Amino acid sequence: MSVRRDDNGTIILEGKCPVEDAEPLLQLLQAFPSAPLDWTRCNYLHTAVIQVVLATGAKPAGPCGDPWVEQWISSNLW
Amino acid sequence: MTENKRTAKIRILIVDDSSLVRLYYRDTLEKAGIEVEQAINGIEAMEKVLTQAYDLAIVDINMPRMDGISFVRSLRRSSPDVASLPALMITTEAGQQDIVDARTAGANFYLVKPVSEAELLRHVAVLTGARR
Amino acid sequence: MNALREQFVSEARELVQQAIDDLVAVEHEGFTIERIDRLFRTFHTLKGAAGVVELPAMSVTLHAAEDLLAAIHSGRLGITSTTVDQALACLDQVSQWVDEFEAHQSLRADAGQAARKTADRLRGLLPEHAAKSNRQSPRPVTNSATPEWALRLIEARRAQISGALQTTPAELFAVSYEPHVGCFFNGEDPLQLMRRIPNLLAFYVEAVETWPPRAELDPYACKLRLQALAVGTRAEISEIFRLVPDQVSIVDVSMDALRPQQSAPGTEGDATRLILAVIEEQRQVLRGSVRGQDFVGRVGAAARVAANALRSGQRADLAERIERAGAAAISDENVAGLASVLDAAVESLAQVPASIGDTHAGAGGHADSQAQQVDRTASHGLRVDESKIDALVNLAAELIVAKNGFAHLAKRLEGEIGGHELIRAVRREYGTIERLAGEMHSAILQLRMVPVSRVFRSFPRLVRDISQRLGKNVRLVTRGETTESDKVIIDRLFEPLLHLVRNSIDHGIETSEQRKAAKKPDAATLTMEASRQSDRFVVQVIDDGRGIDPAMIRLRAGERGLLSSDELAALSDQQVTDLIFSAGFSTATEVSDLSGRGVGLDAVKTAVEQIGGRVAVASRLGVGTQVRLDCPMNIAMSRIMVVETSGQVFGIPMDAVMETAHVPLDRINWFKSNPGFVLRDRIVPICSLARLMDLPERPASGPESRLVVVTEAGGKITALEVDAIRERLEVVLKPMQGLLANARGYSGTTLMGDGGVLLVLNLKEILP
Repeated sequence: MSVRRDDNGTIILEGKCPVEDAEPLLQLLQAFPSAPLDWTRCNYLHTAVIQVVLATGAKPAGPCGDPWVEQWISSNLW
Repeated sequence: MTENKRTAKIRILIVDDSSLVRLYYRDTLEKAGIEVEQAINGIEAMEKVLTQAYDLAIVDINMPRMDGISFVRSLRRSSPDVASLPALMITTEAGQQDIVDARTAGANFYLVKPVSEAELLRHVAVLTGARR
Repeated sequence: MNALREQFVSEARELVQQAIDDLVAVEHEGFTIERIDRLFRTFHTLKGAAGVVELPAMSVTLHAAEDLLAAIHSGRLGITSTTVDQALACLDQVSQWVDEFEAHQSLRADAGQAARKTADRLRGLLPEHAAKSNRQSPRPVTNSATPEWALRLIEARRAQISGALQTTPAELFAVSYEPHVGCFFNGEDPLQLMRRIPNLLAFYVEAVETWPPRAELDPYACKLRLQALAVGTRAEISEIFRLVPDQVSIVDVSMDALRPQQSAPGTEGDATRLILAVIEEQRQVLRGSVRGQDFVGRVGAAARVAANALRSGQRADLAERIERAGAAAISDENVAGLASVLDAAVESLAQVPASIGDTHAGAGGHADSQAQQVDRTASHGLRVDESKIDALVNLAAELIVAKNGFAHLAKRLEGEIGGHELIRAVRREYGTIERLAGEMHSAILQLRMVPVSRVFRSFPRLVRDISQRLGKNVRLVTRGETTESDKVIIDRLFEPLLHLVRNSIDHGIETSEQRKAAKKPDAATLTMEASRQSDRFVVQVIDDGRGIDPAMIRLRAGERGLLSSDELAALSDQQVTDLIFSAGFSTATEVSDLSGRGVGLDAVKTAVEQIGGRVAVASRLGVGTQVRLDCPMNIAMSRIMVVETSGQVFGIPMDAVMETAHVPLDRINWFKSNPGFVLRDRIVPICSLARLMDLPERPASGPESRLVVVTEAGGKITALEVDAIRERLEVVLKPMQGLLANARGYSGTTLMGDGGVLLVLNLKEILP
């Protein structure tokens, strides 16, 4: 599963995250507002997924695995 | 009074303790055909001006060991040909008092950091009398 | 023609002349904000004036010229000979129209067409035109075309795109993509498109509206706005977004938008503001400068910086003043002088409006104040019609004549009535009137004093045209423009000066190659200088050309048979050089190439002598030539001796008369059938005036002697035999006019007390 929550409570985005990941991600972020977000292991994020990150104000720890997102969007987040 | 002929290259001394800033200014100025030398604080700067002629000194106000204002004060007390070196001070937004002190010390103009390349070049042109 | 139209005509002429002067100066000495600004204001005022007298054709042309100047002012267009030529041509047309308007109160029907043609030519020089013809897709030149969001994007990402700024990419685009809210359901991935943009410089993503709280977010409603700055071609970028053209905005970004945002409309305004700020700051530094160890450094630095600032703004003149004031301040240990020079520099700079946009506002009222400015600079005082002054002068002259007539009357009274009381009374009154008339005449003549600039001012343009036509590079320098002399004298100097200038440029000044070979500067210098030397008004025309070669003149004069070889040998080099003014000499056209002077110099000499002046030439071979016109300050009253011969009266100028004498017949000797007598060791020939004037000779005035007036003219002394010597008069000579204007032998006429016309002789021309 490309979006999941691990045993430490970290929400992890992994591999290729398609449009369908947007809803589960949002639900997790709604349910666990203070959970850390790790997107270091993904390699592609659909716009909808990025939108959820932006809209919730979640601050991912570490660089994004999707290089384009890392280069052009990470700076937007703060 | 030492004066470089207008056809010769302009020589500028950058006085700043930050290597990043020195690099940035140097890049900008050298691209515009200006000769650049550096000093990391007022003491080094004094050594340099006493041995070479410059058209302008760009001086950061906040530096350890000898800050910009002290440097200008020292400069203005030197021998006549050195003492009249024009000085452009780089200050911070909150540095209103700094400007007053620098003026009292005899500095000639001010820029607030961060300084854009265009701003830097514009001011250098006017303060050294170069045709733009 | 009514007063308004008259005013328009005279003002328009002034403005046109001012514009011509400035245009020629700009071409020669370079662009200064002041000059361009003044030019713009002049054209603007002219345009306004044309509107007032309802000359739409003129307004159209001038409007185009205004646009051209605006482009030059903002730096969008440079000054070239072509722009100056076109602007001068426009002014020529305006000049012609003003003349036409003066004569006919309206312009010809085809004026509108001509105006449009001129306007098109002028506008054709504008950069937008050039750009349009070169590109397919026109690129907006001004800031206003770049939308807010693109500007914000640039600002927000300036740090990131600063590297790109160095290379100033040719085609830069700003893209704003707002996907449809339901695009996810269409399987679209908007960022995918953005990822495809090559050469992305900056990227920004924002929400189209404030995000709702997490609990209410809809993960599948796209509420994003994606923006980017990229380098590429429009085609490239449009291709990427070809499926969503309605959601995307692609905008050309001009270079202007990439520069740091300042509030000024043009970079020239920026620069001047910075220069002003720098100078004001040095002023502040000086305020705190008191004597002390750092005094020299502070003052020296302040002066140096201020001078540099002015140099960067092309005001080397002000910069030099500051440098001098700075040196003085240091040696005098006093900054007051330097401070006031700085203040003056600030004032001088600050007078220039930062943006030319200001001058567009309120054309009517603005034009008035500008017109007043022209008035003030042109004449310090009243504007008076020249014809009114001429009328006054004539009246004063006639008063003088009437006064003379009064003297004549008094004499008759003495003869006929003989009442001594009465005569004495009359003489007294006459004395008073004579004094008053004289004073008034002088005062009125003073009104006719005009500065020589009136004639000099046409020359920059003339020199430019002549030198262009002849392919020479000439720089005109004028000095002493404010020197004054009588209007008649100055007006009459125009033709001779034009002659001299033409000759100098044609024959005196070498070609560029020749000058280079002679190690002279490429541009020849032609100087016109006016000065007052005691009671003379002197104008000199000086060039640094090839000079006059006396040897060549000797050769030519000999060949032409102007002088015998003996006579030639007896002449010094200077005297030989003077020959260029003699009539016989200048008719030899080939001489022009060798002597460096050509046809028409005798005309110059005649014209100058007619106004009472003298010409002289000095020259050094290879170095240059100087022609000096030495004229009187005013048309003075001439003192005349009236003589009678064969029943006719003539006037002889008193300054030619040495003495009068009754020569006993036995003292008259005959030399080769010409009578003469010895006067103080000198043989003086006797000429009968009657014979000279082709009048029947009467027998000798007396059996024992002949009455002669001994005169000196042209270096020769001659005794004129006359029947009687009458009174002496002080008169204003009227130059010969009309049919007799070119008649030789007369220097003018005047009215006599009894109403008769007196012909005053020009002895040089009469005597053999």
